[in-house]
Amino acid sequence: MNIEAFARLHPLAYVHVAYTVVWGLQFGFALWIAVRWVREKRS
Amino acid sequence: MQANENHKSPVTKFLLPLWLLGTFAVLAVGYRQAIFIAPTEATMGDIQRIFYYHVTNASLALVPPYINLIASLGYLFWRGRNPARALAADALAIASAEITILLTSIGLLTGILWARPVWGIWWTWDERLTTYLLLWMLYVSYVLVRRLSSTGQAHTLAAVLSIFAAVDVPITFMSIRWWRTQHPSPVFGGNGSLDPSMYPAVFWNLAGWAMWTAFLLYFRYALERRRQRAAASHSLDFLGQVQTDEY
Repeated sequence: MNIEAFARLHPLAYVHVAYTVVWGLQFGFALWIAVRWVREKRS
Repeated sequence: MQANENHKSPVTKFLLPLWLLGTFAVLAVGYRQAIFIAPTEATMGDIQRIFYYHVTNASLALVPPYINLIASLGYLFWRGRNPARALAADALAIASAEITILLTSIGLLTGILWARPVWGIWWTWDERLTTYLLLWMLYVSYVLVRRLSSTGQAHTLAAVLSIFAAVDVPITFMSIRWWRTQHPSPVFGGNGSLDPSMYPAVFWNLAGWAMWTAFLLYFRYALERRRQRAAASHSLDFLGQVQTDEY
C-alpha cells in the first residue's frame, strides 16, 4: 500500500497508527517491567 | 530482625494507584484535545495531530539523560565511600537510561511517520534528526555495555559513558536554533509558529506523558532495587553455604 496515499485519504486513521505505536511502546515497556518484577519475586 | 517483604509502603498502597488514575485521566483529556478539540492545521491537515504525541514524548526524552548523569556521578562518587548509596544511584541510572531509549524511540518513530506524508521522505540527515538518533544510540550502547561487559567494571564504564552521552542533549535541543534544519524550528517562544488554540492539546499531553514517565521511572527503579536485594541475598546464601561446607 502507498503510505502517502493512505495518509492523504485517511489522515485520522494514519494519526491513530502513530498513536498506537506510542501506546504500544509505552505500555509494552510497563508490561515488560511488570513481567520482570513477577519473575524476580519467584526467583 | 528482617522487614516483611509483603509489607506495602503508603507510597505503593495509596499514592501509586492515585497517581496512575490521575495519569490515565490526564492522558484521556490529552487524547480528546488532540483528536477532537484542537483545530485542523491549515497546510498539513489532520496529519499534524501526530505532533501532539511526537513533540511531547520527544521533548520528555531530553529529561532522563540528566537524571542518568546525576545518578552516574553519584555512583562514581559513592562506590568507594558508601556502597549502599552507590547501588541506589546505579539503579536510578539504569532506570533513566532505559526510559531515555523508550522516549527517543517514540520520538524517532513518530517523527518518521510524520515525515513521510508531510515531507515525502522517511528520513533526512539534518542536524536535529542526526543528533537525536545519536542520543538514542548512546543510551543503547550504555545499556549494552552494562549487559554484555564481562570485566566486572561494567557499571563504572557505563557511568563514565553517561557523562559523555549527556553532552549530546543540549546539542540536540539547540540544533534547530543553531542550524537551518529541515526539522521545523521551535514552535513555542518568541517566534513560535504554534497557534494558541493548539496549546491545550500540547500541555495536556505533555502533563499526561510526564506523569506516566515519572511512574515508569519509579517502577523500573523499584525493579532494579529488588534485583539488587535478590542478588545480595543469593550472595549471602552462597557464602553461608561455603562456610557450612568448610567447617
